[in-house]
Formats: sequence, structure tokens, C-alpha cells
Amino acid sequence: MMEMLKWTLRTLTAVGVLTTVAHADGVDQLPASEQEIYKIVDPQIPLGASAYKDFKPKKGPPWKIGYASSYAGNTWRAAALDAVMNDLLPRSKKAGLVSDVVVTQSDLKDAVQIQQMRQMVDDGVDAIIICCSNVTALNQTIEYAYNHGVPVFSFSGYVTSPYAINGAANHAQGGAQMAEWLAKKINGKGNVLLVSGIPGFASSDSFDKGAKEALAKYPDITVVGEVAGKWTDQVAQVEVQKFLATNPAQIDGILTQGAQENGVLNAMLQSGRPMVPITLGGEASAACYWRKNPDWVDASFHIWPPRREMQQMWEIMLRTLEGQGPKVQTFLRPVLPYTIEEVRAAIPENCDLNSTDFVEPKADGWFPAAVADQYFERPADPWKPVK
Amino acid sequence: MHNESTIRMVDVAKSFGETKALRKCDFEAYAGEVHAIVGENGSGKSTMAKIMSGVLHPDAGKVTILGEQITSPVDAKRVGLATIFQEVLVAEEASVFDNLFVGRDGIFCSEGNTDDRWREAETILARLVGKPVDLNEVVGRLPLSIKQWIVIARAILRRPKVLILDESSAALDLDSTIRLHEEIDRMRASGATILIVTHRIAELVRIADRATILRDGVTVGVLEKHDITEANLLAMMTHSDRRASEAKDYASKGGAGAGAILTARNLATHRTAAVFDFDLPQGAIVGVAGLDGQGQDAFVRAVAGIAQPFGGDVQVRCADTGKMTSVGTLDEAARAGISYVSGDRKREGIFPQQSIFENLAIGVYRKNMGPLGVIRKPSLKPMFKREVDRLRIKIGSPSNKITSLSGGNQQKVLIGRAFANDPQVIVLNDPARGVDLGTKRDLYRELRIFADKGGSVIYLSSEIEEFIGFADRVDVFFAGRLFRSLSGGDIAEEPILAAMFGQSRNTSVEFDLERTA
Amino acid sequence: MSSNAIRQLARDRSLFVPAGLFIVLLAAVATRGHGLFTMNGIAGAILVATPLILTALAITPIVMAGRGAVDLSVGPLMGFINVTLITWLVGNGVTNPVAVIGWAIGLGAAFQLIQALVIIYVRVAPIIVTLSGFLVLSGINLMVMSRPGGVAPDWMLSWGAGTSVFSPVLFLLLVAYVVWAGLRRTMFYRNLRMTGSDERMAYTSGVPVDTVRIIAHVVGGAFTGLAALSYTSLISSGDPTQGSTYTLQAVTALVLGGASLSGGRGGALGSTLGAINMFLISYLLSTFNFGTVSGFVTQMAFGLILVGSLLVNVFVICRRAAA
Repeated sequence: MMEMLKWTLRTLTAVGVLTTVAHADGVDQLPASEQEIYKIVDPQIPLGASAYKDFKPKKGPPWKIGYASSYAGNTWRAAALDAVMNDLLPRSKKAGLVSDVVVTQSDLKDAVQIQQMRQMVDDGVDAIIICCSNVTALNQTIEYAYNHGVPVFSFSGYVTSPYAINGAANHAQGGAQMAEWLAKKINGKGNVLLVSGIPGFASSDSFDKGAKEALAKYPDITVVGEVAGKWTDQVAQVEVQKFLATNPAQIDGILTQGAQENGVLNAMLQSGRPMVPITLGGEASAACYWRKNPDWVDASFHIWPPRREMQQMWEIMLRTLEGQGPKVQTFLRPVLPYTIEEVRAAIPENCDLNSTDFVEPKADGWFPAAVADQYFERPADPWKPVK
Repeated sequence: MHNESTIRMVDVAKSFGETKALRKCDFEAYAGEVHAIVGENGSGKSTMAKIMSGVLHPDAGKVTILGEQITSPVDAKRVGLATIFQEVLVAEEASVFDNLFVGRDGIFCSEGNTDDRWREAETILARLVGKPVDLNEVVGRLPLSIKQWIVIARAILRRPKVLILDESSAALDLDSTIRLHEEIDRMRASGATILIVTHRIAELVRIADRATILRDGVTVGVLEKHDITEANLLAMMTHSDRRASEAKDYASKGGAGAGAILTARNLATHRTAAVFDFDLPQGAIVGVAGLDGQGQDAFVRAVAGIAQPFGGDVQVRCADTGKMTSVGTLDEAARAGISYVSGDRKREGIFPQQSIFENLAIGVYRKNMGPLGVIRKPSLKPMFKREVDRLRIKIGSPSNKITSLSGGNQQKVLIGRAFANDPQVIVLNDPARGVDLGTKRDLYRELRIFADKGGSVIYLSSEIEEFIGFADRVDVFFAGRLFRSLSGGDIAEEPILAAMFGQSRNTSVEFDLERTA
Repeated sequence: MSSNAIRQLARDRSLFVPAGLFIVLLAAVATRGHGLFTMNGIAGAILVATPLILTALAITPIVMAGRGAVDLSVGPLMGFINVTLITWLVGNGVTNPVAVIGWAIGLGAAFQLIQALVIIYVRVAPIIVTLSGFLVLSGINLMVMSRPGGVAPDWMLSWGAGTSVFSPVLFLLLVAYVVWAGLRRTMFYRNLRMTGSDERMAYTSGVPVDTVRIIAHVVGGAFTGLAALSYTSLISSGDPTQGSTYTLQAVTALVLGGASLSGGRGGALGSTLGAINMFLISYLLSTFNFGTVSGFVTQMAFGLILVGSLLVNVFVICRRAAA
């Protein structure tokens, strides 16, 4: 068994070393302010130069886009798809940039997703967007698409293929930032409960890694427990309830990943314990509680806003198809803190405590055009209509 | 005068849990003879055949087949022994050809030429069936009689030195039986040993060179050809000593009431069986007897509405109107006042996870339902106590699980369940199986009281002595139909046994042609 | 082989439904576009469908051996071979093709041998044994590799390109068929069908049923090794969790192909057709654009087609049994 573990570790480090070497090329071309974002990063994320620096599309505009989602069963994915169908696609059609979007979902089966992506390539789409998929399994298919002149864009999660373009928040840094905030909020000492997402998934592991490293800097803070909320409010609520019922020790703060904080909040409310600071990641329901109890915390974070992450990817895709030449393989965004003022602006006073929506950054707040321009060799306005 | 010995069994014993199938079995057979193994139900004949075939292993004693010890059917195949079992064992999904040659080869390599085999199989199967059979046909689409022939041909094609036929002519008609006998003669002439395990006395009288008689798992004697007569066989198979010790008298004191409460017309127990009529007089206890698989089981199930007969009509006199109504389903039978008690408690009787009370009262819940289907349990308590006292069921608490009771007491609970319905007719399917003598007597007494009050009883039993001094009439089944009704002085072991073996009344030794009518 | 296959098709009505469904689906796909009927389309289809076809083939002999022995462990076993291949072999610099292929086939066969011995000598119901295998391997896979990663050996990377019909993946499939066709010619195949049809009959007729069962499992295990190779070349990396999804798909393909889960009936042709039909259903549905409701519609349509064809299958087979 030991031997087996050693083997495992050795492979993982081997992969890690590879990505660090690749680091030098792409990110160095970014301005210093943007390079900051890449400081704390999951070692498996590829950070090399983009393969699409001199890319020209086969034809178009207008282009036909494929969206091969790996799953369609939760509110986050629904919000992302909604952004495509009801905002980005109509606007792109109007500008004459995109003619159609083909949507498939593979129910978390890699083989099906591979088949659907190959099918899209064979049917002549001009670009493919994938969501938060297996980090390695699609690589051959992405290369197949690349060889047929079809770029693949992975949003809110990376793939290791050199022929893909990734776009997401820097989840490792986000974890560090949210941990930092919580540590300061409880004055650098006390007991903290960690609520993870789905262990084994890239963004979940990245977040935890960053968060733990940040907390380790505070010797007086003890992590008293770790549960998995699976990015689902109901699961998070049950897991935290179980933890609180079996651990009478005082809890001074809860560090949870986004898209499940309302479940954590409800578990605390039901336990009858005094409320403690909880990290907030953009759920409108928890934000509503905050709006009604403004003294509870002083900041919240956009960690993975579905609509904005999709919009970011969409704009990167348009720019790439327009031949603007992306400099890097992976576009990382910093996790954005926001205040109660923004919440007041986003949701009304009589808000819904059980909302399934998300508080998201302003349209241009997540990936402003001015910042985006710095990531491309030949920047221009991606939405400029075709004459 | 005997040839070399091919099979020898010395002091063989075999038990299945508590049941001793064979106690002390000695047996010897020689090359070139047809040797019959005869005995009543449960005397251990089939166990003996299975031990010789290597399917079962004896607990004690020594078995030698052609000079070797056999431990598996693969061994048996190697030394040259083939067995045709009671069940028709065929692979329904496979072709006739594959079914004929199953087990003949190694795991990977065939040990014969396919073309030669094909010709040989076609010849032998045509000879046996009486017409050619397509060897490519899937067996599942063939009728039962052909399947039976396939099983027989499979053994014959092996050209065995020892062939065992375990009740394998049961599904064959007369013509077929004659063809089978010709085949047996042919094999005997070539020096093989043929063992016949059978119920059909007439058959073995005709064909056997010697016969070994089994009783309660013990070999009680061997008859040579000239001694094989019906009288000798019956005498050796029955228990002359047992009758005296179990004498009882629950026979009817008065006459049976007027009129039939249940009638069956043109009933057929299986597809090919001849039809027959049956009448159950009110206030009578009618015994039902027969060797295994002669249709008596299907008959009582059909009467009780458990299973549909293949043809015919069962009618019961309605308690209120006195009119006869047809009974076809379990529900209709229950409404007509027929209760059924099975001797196969595990499969057809008890709910092992439930309490004694539940097990007894389950049949009458529907009659004691209040508004919204709530069961009025208090109203059931007196009934429960009445039945427990009457049948002298030894119980601890009524809420104990039924499995806490002994087999006899479990059976009493089931009979109590039947009585609790206030039935007109009780149908009992071998209820005394595995039950001690005291329980049996309680059962006979209560059934007689029930009959004296005007109830009617159909009582199937596999033990002949149960009927003696108890039943008003015994209906014996043979070849799927009611063969003979016995009453009065005829309710005795030998006449019943003779009828069970399909003998005509004046004990003739002729092969029984009437059976195929 | 071919004359055998034709005879099998003509005799065995259980192949009517899968063959009919295959033709209908092929026609439906053709009306939706010609993407599948190009060199790349067929190459991709072979690449994507082969792991499923091979897992369906792997459980075929085991199911045919009867006792309701549906091998639930096949998916995680394929995953186990995949992750150990990537982590233990390639991770330690062992990339020799002979070693890698030998490891995959040997590991599959060895695991199935253990399962067969447990089923036969510990006398546990097969479904319990293989369910335990499913659970144990699902856990072990995550211990060997905690999340997707690693990379297939260099010589295998080109296998997953899926740009040529005559790829090594097709070769894996052909190897499986050649082995199967070879087995069909031996007595083993008959013994297997007999054992599965009626084990008591086979036993009393002198068929060494235990040996037959062991060989059925070992053959299934070797096929699982081939499936793992094709799966590894499909994703060119290791994945600890995806394998498990193949169990249910393989069983579905098997039933769609007209095999009987109670044993005795089934074959490579049926299982292959079943697996290809599943691929075609999935392919057909992907040609429709259901927009925002795509998730629900595709799942529902997939389920409906499956249930429909299973019903027809059952109906046809029942009718035959009654006839």
C-alpha cells in the first residue's frame, strides 16, 4: 500500500513540475498588474502561451458555436446556459457575429462528451465551449478539433490540453483571499470549520489548497473540521448540521466555498448557536440574509459567478475568432470582493431568503474590456458589428 | 449364472438434515440384466439412483461402479454410466443436437466427428420418437414428450455400460413405452446393466430380470425374475407391522348427508390427461391418494382454486341459496367457503416473520374490518382463543413469531386459520407431513367433528395408513386422473396401494392397457 | 464465422430486435446529416464506441454462464486497469507496449479469476460478489489516483486521434472478435451455453461446470483488459471515476442485444449490436438542438428509446417462449 502511495505521489509531482516549466512563456507577456493574479495558482493549471496567437477562423463571421456541457442538473449550470441563450446569443446575432449555438450535455459521461464534441467538429461548428469537464480526458478530442481549425474554450475549470483556452477565476487565490478575510474578521484566532465543494474536482481542490495555505499563516487559528457540501445548499446544510450536532466545541468562523453558503447559514441558524462570520460567494439567498443583518459581515466575494464567467469566455471566444491573438492559454480572474452597498443595489429590501439566483458583478465588472485588451496581441472591441 | 458385477453398494446411508433417506442400503447388479428398484414414496429410490450417478455423496458405506468409486457426474461419464433423471433436464435455448451431446466432450476439444454424430443421433431419435426430429430445432419449441425422448436419447447415445432410468417413462404413452422397452432389450443384449427405478409394477414385471425392494431407506429383499409378481412386490413394500400400532377410529358414525356439496365435471389435471368426474358429499371425508405426480396434487389445487385445471368445471353449492356456482379462482373459492391447508408450510403456509396471532387471523381480517379498513383486533381475540383451545395448540404468547413453534403446532395454526373462516369445505394437501402422531390424532378428531356438523373434507395424503379408520372414501389417482374410488372394507393398505400402482381390480399381471384410455 | 453469424441471425429471433433497431437508427442518423458517414465520422465512432462494445463483450460470457451472474464489477475493473496502467506503469517509466498490454489483459483476467473462485468455492451469489468487486474497486481507484490526470504512453497517444478507420483501437476490437470466434468453434462455447441454460442438466450430464464458469470469467476479464486499453487511448490519461459509469451501460447494451440475464442466451453479435445501438441513440440525440432544456430532453429521450426497445425485446422473446 505504501508503495502504491509513493507511486501516486511521484506521478503527481511529475505533472506539477511540467506545468511550472511551461509557466515562463505565456504569462510573462502580461502586464505586471495581471501577473499578480497568477502568483498563487494550482500547479496543474497550464500557463503556457496560447496556440491561437496567429489563429484565423476557417470562415465567417457569422460563426456557429457548439456548447458541450458535461451536466445540466443544477442552478449554476442553468444560469450559465441562460446567459448564452438569452443574452450573449441574441446580442451576437444582432451584431452578425454568431449564427447559431448548438447545445449538448453528456450527463457526466466523458465518452459521450467526446462523441458530441467530435460530432460538432464534423458538423462544421467554428468554436466549441465546454464547461468544467474532466481535466485530461478530452485532450485528444481537443487536439482533433484544433487540427480541424476549431478552437475549444473551457470555462470555469481548466483542461490540460495545450490546444484549449481556459477561462476562470483563480480558485486557489480565491480560497486564500476568503481565508485571509475570515482570519482577520475573527482577529487571527479561534476555531474554523471548513466546508469543501466536491473533493477530487479541480476547482474544489484548488480552493481548499489556497485556503489552507492562507490559514496556516495564523498559528492561533485551528481548523476543527472539514465537511463536503458538494456545491449544493441542501447537502451543505445537512453536513454542517451533522458536524455541529456532534462537535460541541465553539466555532468562531466558517470558511465555505461558493454556491452552497446559504445551506451553511441555515444550519447555523437552526443550531441555535450565536451567528459567526461565514464566507459568502454570491448566492442571492445568503446575500438577502446579509441585507437584513448588515452588521453580520463586511465583505462578500464573487468566486464563480455563472453569467459573468460565461460572458468572459464568450468574449475571449469572439476575440479569438476575430483573430485578435490570445497571449496566454489560461485567463485567470481575481476573486472580487463586494460590499453590502452592491448587494443593496442588486436585490430589493423584500428579497427572497430562498432565492436560487446569484448576485453577479456588473456586466463590465468581471472582465473589463480595458483589462481584456492586455491579454491579446491585436486587441479590438469584440462586439463591433460586422459590416 | 450371473455375469460380472457392475454395481455394488454396501451399507450405504444418506441423510438430508433430519430426514434419513437411506438407512442401510445394499445392492448389487450385473452386466446384461435389467434390474428394477421398487419402493413406496419416500423409500429412498431416487436417492439411491443419485448416489450411483455421483450427484449425491453417501454419508456412510461404499459404492463401486464398474470397479471404481464415483464422486461426480464427470467421473460417472468416464466409467461409462449414464442416468436419465426424473426431471426432464434440457437446455431450452439450445438446439436438439447440442442437447443430445451435452457433456460428451472436453472443455475445448470435441471428442467425436460432428457428421457421424449427426447421423447417429438422427437414427436413434427417429427410432425412439417414431418419426424424424429436426436436430437444429430449439428444444424450447418442442412438446414435452419429445423433450423426454431427448433426455433418454442423450443417455442411450453414450452407449453406456450402466444405464439408470429414474422414473423416466412417466411422461411417455403406451407406444412410446413399448419403443423404450425395445431399446432396453437391445442394450441388455449388448451386455449393459439397466437399472429401472419405477412406480409402475406392471411395467417392471414385464421387463425386469431382477428387482430390489426398498422400504424406509432399507433394502428389504431381492426378487429373481420368476418371483417378480405383484403380490410379492406389494407384500415386501408394505408395513404389515405398522398397521396394528397406529389403529385408530375416527370413521363416520352416521351416514354422509344428502347431496354433493362440490362437483367436478370433465376435469383434466394436465394437457394430455384423460378427463374425469368427482363428487364430494356433504359431511364426508374423502381421502385422495396417488404416487408422486399422478395428478392428485393438481386436482386438490384445482378444487381449492389455487391453480387452474387444464379443463373442466368445479361447482360448489352456495350455502345461502343452495344453488351450484362455478369456482375458478382463489377469490371465488374463498367466497364459496373453501379453505385450503398446505402441508408445504414453508412455501404455501406460514408467514415466517409474523406472529402466531397474525398467522392464524390473517384469513379473517377482511370480515373484521371497520371503517377505513381498520382491523378490529379485539373482536378477533375470542376466535383466536377458541381455535387455540380446540386444536390444543401449545403456544407461549400469541405475539411470538410462528417460527418459535414446532412443525406440528405450526400446522395446527394453519388448520386453525382454515377453521376460522367457517368454511363449507376444507381441502388439505398432505397436512400431516412431518407431524407427530399426537398432532395427527387431534387433527383427525377435529376434522371428524367438522364433518359431523355438516362440513366436507378433501384430504390428500402421501401416507396410506392415514386414511384407514378415518376417511369415508379414498379416491386414488393414477396417470393424471381419478383411477378408482374405494370405500368400506376396501380402505385398507393393499387395495389402495394396488390402485396407486394402477392395477386392475382382479390383480392381473397383464400390462395395463386401461391406463391409456 | 460469417456463415455461423448468418445462421445465428436466422435462427435466433432474439437478434431481430437489435438488428431492426440498428437499421432504424442508422437511417435516422442518415437523415440528420452525413457526419457519421465520413472517414472521420466512422473513425470517431469506432474510437468512442469501442470501450462500450468491449465491456459489453466482457460481461457476455459471464452472463451466459447463468446463475444471474451479471458482472457489475466490469466498469470499475476497467477503471482500475486504466489508473494502474497510468500511475504504476507509465508513472514509473514502464511504457513498453508488451508490458502495458500484458498488464491490462493479465490484470483483468486475474481479477475475474479471483471473482470466479469466490463465486464457486465460497458459494456466494454472483451478484453479491461482483457488487462487492464494484464497490471495492471504485474505492481503490480513487486511492491509486485521486483525480483525473497522468498521460498515456507516447505510442498510445496517436491511438486516440480517431482520424483513421484502421486504427489500433479497431485492431483491439478485431482481436476480441477473433478470440470469440475461436472460442465459438471449440466445445467450450457449447458447454457454456448448456451451463447457462440449465446448470443442473449440464452438471448431471458430465459437463465440468465449475471449470466452464472459471474460463468464462477469465475470458471476460481479458476482454475487460482490451476495453481498458481502448478506453485509455480514448481519454489518453487516467480517470478514477469514469469507469464505474460503464457497468450500467454495458448491462444495458447486453440486454438491448437480446441476451438473457438469467443465462444461456446471448452472444458477441447481440452485445455488439446493443452497444452500437446505444452509441447511435446518443449520436442521434446530439444532432438535435434542444437549447436550454437539452439536459432533460436528451435524458428523457434516451430513457424512452431504451425502455421501448427493451419492451419490444421482451415482448418478442415472450411470444417465442409461448409459441
